[in-house]
Formats: sequence, C-alpha cells, structure tokens
Amino acid sequence: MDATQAVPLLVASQLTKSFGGTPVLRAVDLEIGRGECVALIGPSGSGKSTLLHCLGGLERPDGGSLTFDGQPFAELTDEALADLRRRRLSSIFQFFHLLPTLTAEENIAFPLRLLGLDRQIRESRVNELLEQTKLTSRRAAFPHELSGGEQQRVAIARALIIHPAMILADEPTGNLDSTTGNVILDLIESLTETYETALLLVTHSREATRVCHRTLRMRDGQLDHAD
Amino acid sequence: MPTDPLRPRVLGHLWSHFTWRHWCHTPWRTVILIGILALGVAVFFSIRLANRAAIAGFQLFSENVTGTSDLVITSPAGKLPVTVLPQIREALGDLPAGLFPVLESTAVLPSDTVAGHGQQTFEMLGVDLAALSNIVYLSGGSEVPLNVRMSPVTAASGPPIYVTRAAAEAHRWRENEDVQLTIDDSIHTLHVAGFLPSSEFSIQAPDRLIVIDLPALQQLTGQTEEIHRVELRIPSGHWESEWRRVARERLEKGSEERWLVETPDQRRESGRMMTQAFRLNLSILSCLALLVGIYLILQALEAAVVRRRPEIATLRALGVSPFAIRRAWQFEALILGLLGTVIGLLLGWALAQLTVRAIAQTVNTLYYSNTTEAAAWHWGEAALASALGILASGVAGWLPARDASLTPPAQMLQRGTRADGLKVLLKPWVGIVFVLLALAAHGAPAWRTAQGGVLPLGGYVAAFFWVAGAGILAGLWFPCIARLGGRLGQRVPELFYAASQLLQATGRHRLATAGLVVAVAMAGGMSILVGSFEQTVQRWLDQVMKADLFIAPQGSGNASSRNRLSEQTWRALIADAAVANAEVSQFHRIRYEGVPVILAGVGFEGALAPESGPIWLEEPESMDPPPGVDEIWGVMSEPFAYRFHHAVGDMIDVPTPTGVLAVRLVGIYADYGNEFGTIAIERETLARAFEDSRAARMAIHLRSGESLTETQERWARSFPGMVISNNRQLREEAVRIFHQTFAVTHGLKWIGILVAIAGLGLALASMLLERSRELATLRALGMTPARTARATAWESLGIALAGLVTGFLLSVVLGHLIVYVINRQAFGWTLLFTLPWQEFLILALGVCAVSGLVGYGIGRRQAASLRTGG
Ligand SMILES: Nc1ncnc2c1ncn2[C@@H]1O[C@H](COP(=O)(O)OP(=O)(O)O)[C@@H](O)[C@H]1O
Ligand SMILES: [Mg+2]
Repeated sequence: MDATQAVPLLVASQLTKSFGGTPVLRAVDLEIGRGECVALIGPSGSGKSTLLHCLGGLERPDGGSLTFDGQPFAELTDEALADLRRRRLSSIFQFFHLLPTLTAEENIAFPLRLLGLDRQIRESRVNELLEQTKLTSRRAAFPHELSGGEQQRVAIARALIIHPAMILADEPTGNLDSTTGNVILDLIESLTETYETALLLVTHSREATRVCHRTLRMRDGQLDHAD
Repeated sequence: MPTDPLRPRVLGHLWSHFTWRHWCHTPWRTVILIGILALGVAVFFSIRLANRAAIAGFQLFSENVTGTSDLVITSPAGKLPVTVLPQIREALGDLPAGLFPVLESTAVLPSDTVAGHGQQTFEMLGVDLAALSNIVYLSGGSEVPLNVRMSPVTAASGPPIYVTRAAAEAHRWRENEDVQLTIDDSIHTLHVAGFLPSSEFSIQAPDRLIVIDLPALQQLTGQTEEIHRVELRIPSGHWESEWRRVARERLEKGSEERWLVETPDQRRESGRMMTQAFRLNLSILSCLALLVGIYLILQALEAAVVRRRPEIATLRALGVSPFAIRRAWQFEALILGLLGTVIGLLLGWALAQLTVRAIAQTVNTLYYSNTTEAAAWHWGEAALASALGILASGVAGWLPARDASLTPPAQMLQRGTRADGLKVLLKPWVGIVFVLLALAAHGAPAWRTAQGGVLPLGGYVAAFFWVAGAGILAGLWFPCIARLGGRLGQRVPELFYAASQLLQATGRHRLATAGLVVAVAMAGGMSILVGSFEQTVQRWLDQVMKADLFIAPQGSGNASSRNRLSEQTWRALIADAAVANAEVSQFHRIRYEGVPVILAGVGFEGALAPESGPIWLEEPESMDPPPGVDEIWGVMSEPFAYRFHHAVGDMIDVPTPTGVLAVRLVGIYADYGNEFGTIAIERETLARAFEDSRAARMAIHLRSGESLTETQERWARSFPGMVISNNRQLREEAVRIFHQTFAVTHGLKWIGILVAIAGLGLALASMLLERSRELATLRALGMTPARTARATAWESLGIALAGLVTGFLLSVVLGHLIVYVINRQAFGWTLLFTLPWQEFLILALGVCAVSGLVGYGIGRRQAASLRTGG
C-alpha cells in the first residue's frame, strides 16, 4: 500500500507525437499525483488536446513512455485501454458530449451499465450524484432540453460515477459564459476533492488556475511550469 | 425565383470545387452509387429486351414465308380446306395477286430420351415452291425471302427439304444427304436439297425453319386436303396500296365466315397479346428494381447532404443563394443518373442475353414456338430505360436538394442536430390515407384491351398504395421494438443504447425500414404467389394425373407443336393386351371471338369421370343431353369462363373447318395448363368436325399385374416417334416447367432484397456519420470498437425487425391481392392461398443475419476511424 502511494498516479516521459510529419508533442514530461489537481494552459493549437488524448489512451504516442498507476500503456491492448477508461479514467469535454438519445439520468448511469453493475448500485450512485450536481429535478430531461451549464453538470456526474482515479477535462468551460463557467469549475473542484480524484484541467481561464494545485503551460508541444 | 446574374458561373464553380472534389475524395461511394442506379436500369432494360426478343421470335416466324406478305388469310378454326383457294381467287376477281398456301407442321430430331424435354423443335413450312418462285416477278425481283434454288434431286430417298445453314451446321447436315426427323408420331427420312438464304435478305430465317413442298408435307402429315393459311402478295408498283385496300375489301365481303383476313401486323399483335399478362408482370417486377434504385440514390444523396452540411452552411453564410445550392444538388443527381444510365444500358444488354433464354423457354412451353436465343439492342427500349433512369435520379435528387437548400447559414453545429430526413415518413396519417386508397383500388375492375387482353390495373394501383402506406406506417413499430430492446437490454448496455436510438427513430431509420418493407413484401408476395401456384398445381396434378402411362408425340412439350398420334397408332395402343383402359384426347387451336383459345376433344366417360376427372368448379349433372334434345354439350375451363364471361347454360358458336358448331356449356373445371381457355367437347364430335381422327395425347391405365417399366420400354421400341412417360416422369416435367416459368421472378426477387439490404447499410453508415461525435463519446467512456459495432448491429437488427414484421404483414396482403385479384383478373385462375412458412423463415433469418452483419461491419469501421473532436 505504501509503495503504491509513493508512486505518482500518472507518469509521462519524453512523449512525442506528430501528425503527417508535423510534430505536435515534442518530448513532454509530466507527473500527476493521486488526488492532485493540475491546470494546463497554452495557446490554441499548441497540442493540449493531443496530450489529453494520449493520456486517455485514445491516441497512441509516437515515442516516450506513459504509465498509469504503475502500468505502462505500451503494454496495454486497445481493449485494456478501453477497460481502463471504463474503470479509472474519465473525460469531460468542451461540447459536453452527452448521448442525445439518453436522458440525463441514463447518461449518468451509462458507464455503470458498461461495467455491468446492478440496478440498485446504479440507482444509489446516480441519486447521490444528481443531488451533488443539483440535477435531481432535471433527471428525466434529454440533452437537447438542458441548458449548457446543466449539460456540463450531467457530464461531470457521468465522469464521477465510476469513482475514477483521474479526470481529464478538455476546456470544460470553453463553451459556457463566465458566470456559469465559474460555477462549473467550483463544482469540478469540490467534487474531485470529495472523491479524491486527480484532475488534469485544460483551460483558458485565469480563474481555473486558482483552484488547482499546479499550473503547466504548453507551448509548441513542450511543457513548462507557469508559476 | 431570385434572379442571380452569376448563376451559371456559380453552379459551375460549385460543381468543380465542391461536388467534384467530394466525389474524388470518396471515389468508392460514388462508384457504388452509380452502380446501384446502373443495376436498376440494367434489370429493367434487360427484361424489356428479353421480352421483346421473345415476341420477335413469333414475329419472325409469321413473317417469313413471302417476306412481308400483304395479307394473310386464315380460319378461326385453325385450318382451311384446299378448296378455299379457288374461292379466294373468285372473291378477288380480276385483281392481280399472288396466293401462297402454307401448311405448318413441326418436326423434332428422333431422340431416345424418354421425357423428351429440351428437344429442339423445327418449324416445318409446307409451301408451294413453284408458286413461290413467282415472287421474283411480283416484287420486281428486288426482295425474295425464300429464293429456293431447286437443284435437281438425284436419287432422293425422301421428299426434298430446305434448311438453314445454321441448323445444318449444328446438326451436321450436308446438302444432298438424307436426315431423319420425327413428324407426328413417326420417323421420316427427308432429303436436304438446299439451304435457305440467310443474310442477303431483309428478313432472316429463324434457325429452326425447314421449308418443304406443300404436297409433300400434306402427304407426310396425312392432311392432304388442308392448309393453315394463305398469304397474299400484291405486285409492287403504282397501284399497290390501292389494290391492297380493294383486295382486303373483296376478301372480307366474300368470306361468308369461311376465312379471316388479317395484315401481318394484326397477326403479330395476336402473339403479343397472348403473352401480354406474362410480360406485364415481368415489366412491373423489373420496375420495382428501378424503384428500389431510386430509393437508394435518395438515401445516399440525403446522407451526402448531412455530411456536407457544415460546408453548405458556410456557403450560405458567404452569400450563395439557396436556389444555387438546390440547383447544384439537382445537377449532381442528374450527373449520377446519366452515368448510371449509360452503364446500366450496357449491363442490361449483357443481362438480357442471360434472361432471354429463360423467358424464351417459358414462352415456348406456354405460348408459342419461339426461336429466340439472343436479345438484340433496341433503341426505343434504350430510350425508355434512359428516360426512367434519369427521371429516377431527378426524383431521388429532389428531396435532398430541397433539404440542402433549407440548411440555415452556419450556427447549426451547436446542438448535435439529428437530421429528420424524410418528414413524410414521420406522419402516420399519410400512411393511413394510402392504405385507404389501396382498399378503394382493390375493387376496381380490370381493364380490357381491344384485343381481348386483360390488365388488372386496379390490382397494381392497390399494390402501389399498400406498399407506400405500409412503408410509412412501418415506423410505428419502433417504439415497441425499442421498449422491448430496452427491457432486454437492462444488462446489455449495447442493446440498451441501440434501443434508445430506436425510441427516437429519425426519418433515416424509417427510410431504411421502408426500403426493407418494400423488398420483403415483394419477395414475400412472390413467394405466396409461387407457393400458392405450386400447391394448387400439385393438387390439380394429383387429381388429373391418375393414369400409369402418358403418351404424346415427340416435341409436344412445345406449345405450338403440331405433332399428333395417328389413329392407327392410338388404336393399336388401346388394343394392346397390357391396357386396361385409355383416355384419348385431341385439341386444336382455334379463334373464339377473334382470340386464340383451345378446343379439346376428350372421352366424356373416361376423362370427365368423377374419380379421374378434373377438379370441378361447377360440376355438370350429366354430360349427355336428355333424349329428344339435339344439342352438343361441352364444358369449359375456368380461364375460358372468366375471359369470355360465360356461365353454365350458355350456348356458344365454335368455328370448325366444317362449319360452326353450336355447343351448350354445362360445366366449368379448373385448368392450370394454359391461360387461353379451353372448351372441351366429346372427342368423336371434334374428330368429325375437323375431319381429323388423330390424337394429341393418351393416358393409359395398365391392367393389374402388368409391369410399368416393361410396357414403357416395349412401346418405346415399337413407337420411336412417341414420348412415353410414366406418372412420375410427367409430374417431374410439369414441376420443371413450373419452376422454369418462375425462374426470372426468383432472380428479380433476390435482386430486390439485396438492394434493400444495401440501402439499410447505406442508411446506417450515414446515421453513424452524423453521430460520429456520439461514437467518440462512447469510446471515451470506455466502449471498445467491437462493443460499439455490437450496438450498431442491434440497431440494424431493430430496423430489420420493423421492416420484416411490416414486410411480412404486407406480403400477406400483397399475396392476397396477387392471388385473388391480379392473377384472377389476368389469367382467370383460382389458386389456393398458401403461406410458404419455410421460405418466410429463411428470408427472415437471412435478412436478420445480413442486417446484423452489415450493422456490425459499418459500426466497427466507423468506430475505428474516430477521434474525439473538440
Ligand atoms: N488528427 C489530426 N490530424 C492532423 N493534425 C492534427 C490532428 N489532431 C491535431 N492535429 C494538429 O495538432 C495540433 C495541435 O492540436 P490540438 O492538440 O487540438 O491543440 P489545442 O487543443 O492545444 O488547441 C494542431 O496544429 C492540429 O492541427
Ligand atoms: Mg483543444
């Protein structure tokens, strides 16, 4: 137990990735501890999303190594990576990405279905998260019936329902007005704390960097510490 | 309409910079799209060409003797006495005209096959060879179709015949050599005296034509006093058309019911009429292929609109008018249509060479002799197919073009827009209106053409509305299927997700379902028709085929065979010690009310007896008129009663060579052997009226204890010109003919199903494209491509299920329509309605399996090619 505590949750070293000869990530080194909250800023096109895709196992880096919880990604099959996303790694997106044919409640519960969990467990966890995200009254609504802020709250609840070890959030407030954005940021911050979840938050807002333990800056495919 | 001065330029630019680049970017999609349309056009074109070729076979034969004869004189009784020639001369008066009597017969190569099917039948034309050479004079020496150079016959062992070079090559006949041919029931030796000209003249002789001197053929067939028709030629020149008119007038006036005067056109028309219903059914079926093609193009273009919506929105934002966008899409559809049509015509022509044999075979067996083996290119048909193909693409492009032009400028990416697709499909009341129209059309009477043909238009219209209505209403199943899926999917997230998609089914879902409904219903309806037919024919065969052995002259598998058993032969068979009893029957093709029908002569005690007789629809109480009533009694087949609106008790006038015979119809029996209609009278009465005691068939019951195979073999040895089949063989032959008749139908059915499943795949592909962001989300949530593919497979299966359920319900309705309305109106047949369960089951399983696989494949591909955007 102690041994695993000592190892950081996520370690990336010398990650590289290029698209069609154009390098997008050049030797990225990154460590994120358990329950740590890290902000990632940088100009558009600097490779932030690409980095997140690599960390989420959606894209394989061209070079370098990546370990999650002591497990090297390179040794994992696509199936194992998908399993990792089902159990330990959640994502939140700029455009919410809810499943349009499912209600708020069904959207939140969907990852538990993928895990084959029983209805009772599903319901109790969903109810808990609906309350925490103040969505209980909107539970039966479909995505197109929800406001942007509400949709993002559903997405947050969906990300947390599996009690992940880490959440990768790609500009979760980028498509919201600043007031709503701040509410969402506070919610993400408080809930990741409650669930002891690590957070890598890509953002443009100065506000966001305030809630995080650390801020990293991406520039031309390379990371440097901003503070 | 907004006037846009730059419009042609804009259109050109849109084409070269957008549409064309999209095509180049996804070449396979474009190729497949063009291929689908080409297939539709090809199926239609090939069936039309093959039909035309089958008719042309008839045409060739009827035209051949004197080239284009001016008038043809025939008799409603089928044949004329030779004494008619001076009578015709007399009627013509002083008009200069050449008269050419013709006797037709058939011959086959002696064969040792017992069943004798697939035999080549030769058409024997007995013509006055001496008179024929006069045509040279009559036509001014320009056009002599049968310019037979009569070489002096040396040491001829049989009458001289003239054959085509093609036939001579095929059978290795050489000039001045003897050949053996079966005419009627005996084998004759004939002498090949020369070849018929083939290519030098405007009209080509059919390969299987044999020309023989008239008296020789009369001798060979024992019809010394008879001819079948007289062809009349007017000398060419200034007065030609006037003389033709006068000749016709005089002949009609002087006929006194002894003959009919027709132009070759009219004769051709009767051949066309005979097969009209058969050909119409095929044409309509082939139209369905085109219809499904339209549907696929529509779907594909709709999908393209969805894919390019961001681009359209941007163009709109940049100021391109909706009108220009609409035009660009219509133009794209048109270009697709043109390309598809051109390829379709070539493909169709090739396909026609395959189908023509199947169709010609059927026509041969059921209607008339036909020598077609290749389908010729026909510009008229090509124009029709092109028009339909381009029209189809225009129709298919119209909705997507409208859809594209309605795209609002930009701002649409915000909320994952689920395109509605066809809005009509979302309105159940439209479907209900269609169904009501269909019900109304059910009762519409058939349309009768001037030549006595029957077109069941009401039935076809009803079928169209049923299909349209059911296609729309099929969407009503989605909530049920979705709920079922949701319940079963509690523990299967892929199914749960698929069910949620079906619960909010889009127009695209419905369009895919509608396509399947059409195809499944069409296939199901056809299966019901064929199944009902088969069942009915089987039952009918059980009833009418009770004898042990059946005897017919060789070549009788051909509908126009004139080969018969001589009286000597059939009497010898009856007298054979092995025979317990025998039914002898004869038939002639006559014209009743100007339309071909069959006049049969049967033994009333034997053939109509309750235990071995036909299936009665109205059974006569007695076959003999009561004492003191001097009438001829007969019975009619169901198609006859239906075609001529005759009821039991009617008196009809039947033409015979010896005068009109008044017959009282006292019963109606089921007959699936031909659709012309049959009048059956006592065989001996017929023999007297036709002065012909030959027989067409015999059915023989053997004495108990006699060996079937032994008798069969013994007779085969002593009567080499006959086909002797036992009960099993004849049944097999009947079933074979039956299956051959429906071979093309089966082919079309499977093409329809295939295209509909392709449509389902196309619909799924475009739905998944629209949903690419959703798929990316699923992936981020930890769903593997395999699981996503399973979800798509479930969804596909759901669509297939809705299509299958509706399709099968519809097919029962269509089957009912085909069996009880269309078939009855077109052929006058009563069929037993049969649901071929096994075939339905196979069809359902097949469609489900393929749909599932297609869904899985497309899901897998889409899921694998994804990234999380944004
Ligand atoms: N799938 C891809 N194919 C080609 N280039 C890509 C792809 N994904 C990202 N890029 C390029 O990589 C660079 C970084 O993109 P991205 O990671 O989205 O930046 P950010 O999120 O920081 O705005 C951009 O120049 C983008 O064009
Ligand atoms: Mg980004």
